[in-house]
Amino acid sequence: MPKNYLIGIGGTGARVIEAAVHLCAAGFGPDELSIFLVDPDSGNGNLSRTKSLITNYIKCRKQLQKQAGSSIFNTDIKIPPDEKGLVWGIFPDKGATLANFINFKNMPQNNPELADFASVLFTHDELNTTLDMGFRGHPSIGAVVMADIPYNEYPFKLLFDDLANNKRANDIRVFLVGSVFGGTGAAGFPTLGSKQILKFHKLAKIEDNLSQILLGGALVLPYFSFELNADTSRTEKEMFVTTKDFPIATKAALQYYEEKDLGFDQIYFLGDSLAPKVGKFEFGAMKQLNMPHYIEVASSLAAFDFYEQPDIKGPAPQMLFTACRESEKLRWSDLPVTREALKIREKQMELKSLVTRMTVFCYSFLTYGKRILAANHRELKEAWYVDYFKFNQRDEKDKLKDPRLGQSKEALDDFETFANSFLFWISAMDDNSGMVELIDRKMLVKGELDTGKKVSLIDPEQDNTKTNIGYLLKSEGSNKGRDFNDFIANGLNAVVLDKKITDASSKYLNIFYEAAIKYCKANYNVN
Amino acid sequence: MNKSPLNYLITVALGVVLWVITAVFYGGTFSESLILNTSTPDQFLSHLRIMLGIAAAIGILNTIYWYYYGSLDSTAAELNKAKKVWMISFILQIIASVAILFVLIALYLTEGVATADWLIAFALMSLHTWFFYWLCTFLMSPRTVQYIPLFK
Repeated sequence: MPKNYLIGIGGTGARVIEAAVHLCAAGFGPDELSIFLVDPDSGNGNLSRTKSLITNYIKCRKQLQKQAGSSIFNTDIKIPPDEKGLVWGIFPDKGATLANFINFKNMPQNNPELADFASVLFTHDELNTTLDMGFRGHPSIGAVVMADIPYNEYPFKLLFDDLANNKRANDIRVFLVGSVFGGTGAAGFPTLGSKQILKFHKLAKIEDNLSQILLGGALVLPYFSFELNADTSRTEKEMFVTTKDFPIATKAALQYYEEKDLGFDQIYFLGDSLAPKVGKFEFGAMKQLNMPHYIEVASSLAAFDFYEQPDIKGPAPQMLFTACRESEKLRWSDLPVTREALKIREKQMELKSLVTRMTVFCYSFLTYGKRILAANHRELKEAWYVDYFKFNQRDEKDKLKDPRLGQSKEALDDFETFANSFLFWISAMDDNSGMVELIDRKMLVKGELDTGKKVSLIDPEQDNTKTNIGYLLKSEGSNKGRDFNDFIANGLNAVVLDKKITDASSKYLNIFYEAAIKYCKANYNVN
Repeated sequence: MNKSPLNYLITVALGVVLWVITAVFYGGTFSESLILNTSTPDQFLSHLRIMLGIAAAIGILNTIYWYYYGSLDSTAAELNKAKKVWMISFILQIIASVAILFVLIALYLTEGVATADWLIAFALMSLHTWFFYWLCTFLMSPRTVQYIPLFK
């Protein structure tokens, strides 16, 4: 079976991986996926959010005993054994500059011609700006420092260990994702995509034009904009990129991709002309925490399409993919899910079904599910609960059967964190522009979304909001508007669990997931 | 057994069978065993049958209402209210059994019926009202409210 790698480069790369992890949780990902990130801005908010999400996903998946046929947390996500190894930070120490990296200070003495050449290529600012917060829209800096990847250290060790143990052509599917218009992504994408770095590295090469690596990538063209921060005194002095720079940077980059013979076998081009605002401009670190965007979903779908293609025996032919919407509105039927024309509708339905189901699952768990967990066990008369949670609270032996205690509590807490992230992510797709018609944020969340804060969910048990769960799909005629009582009566109360699921937290989660399946089938006509 | 309309049909059938057993078979024997001052055992039997019939009707109707209420989707989210509904119904059944017995006692107050016999009559009323209600709801409550009856 081919091995799949997803490498996110820079802030956009991290956000695409965030989307990929959420889709994997919903059950839309491949069976196995190794992930790592490339970003010198180790404190970047987007990167931190994605790192936490990945580790949270792995914990949830490990703790969950699944019902037969269940698609939730289907993908076995693999990361380096040491969590720190998940990100290649490029610079080992803080305060790195390009000048330090190339030893520019000593260069005039050791190699004056090279020093002159470096002076021509890089400005004083480019040489001396600290790169702790990324390359600030200057990919020429990144291209220099990223050409030398540490093959024997994690996260690249993960890939190169696989290369050492595998000898089949195109069997290791590596997918790079980054933005074409920023700093880190724009630098890393062509650098890691160059032939000698990954595709035809000596460990990967089989013959002159045959490699173990099938190299793909999603090049994300400008798809968002941001407001400039009021702190203009700082922005005047420091090196940074603005939305105005995006088109020029993109044009130059695309020209480069056309002229340069890179190692990519398949590239997907993605972008969005609507360019919604994703927040205020920040230099980096924790402040750079943007709202999720549907282009990141489309980019993840590109990666999944890449992994799903049939085996390629000989040298891989070069292919370019692009996708566009039919109108300004984005609907489920606009999402580019597969390259196979005959399967598009079916895959779109599958995606819609899995994401809707996951949304109902997370929403019901975080509201009603949490309320039941907070209630006194002996007073609960809910049929689904009593059926699966028969125990005596005073009996020590029965403590394992209580989902409120011990490891079950930890597992449910981990899932709660994940479910909050998922609902934040899926709600953020609905950017209030009226253009994105996927999941309706107003049906789930009270007030505005705020990055880094827990979502404030609407109570589905209130009289005036109990039908919200039945109208989650935006502008869809398939919404039947069944209320939350229906979810309990015909969803939760109708669940039959596998007897092999013994763990209390797994029972609890599976009951809600199976109920979500039943409810979505009845209310949204999705299987 | 808790699926509709099976639970409704079984409940009505059980109520009718129980009435036949208590009012027709046992009622005859019970009336014959009484020593009454002026009334005849037949008169007592006909009154007993009517009272047991009323008790059975109350028991059956209340149970049917519980099935209907329990099968409403809205009940699924209001189990605390459902608990109250069940308990109030149960208490009303006890009150009904006592009230019907008092009517019978009032009719035969001067006939010198022994206390033990009134206790038997109360047992018969109870069988048709609160016990019938508890037994049927214990065994055949809809899924949503199946764990609400006492001792379930």
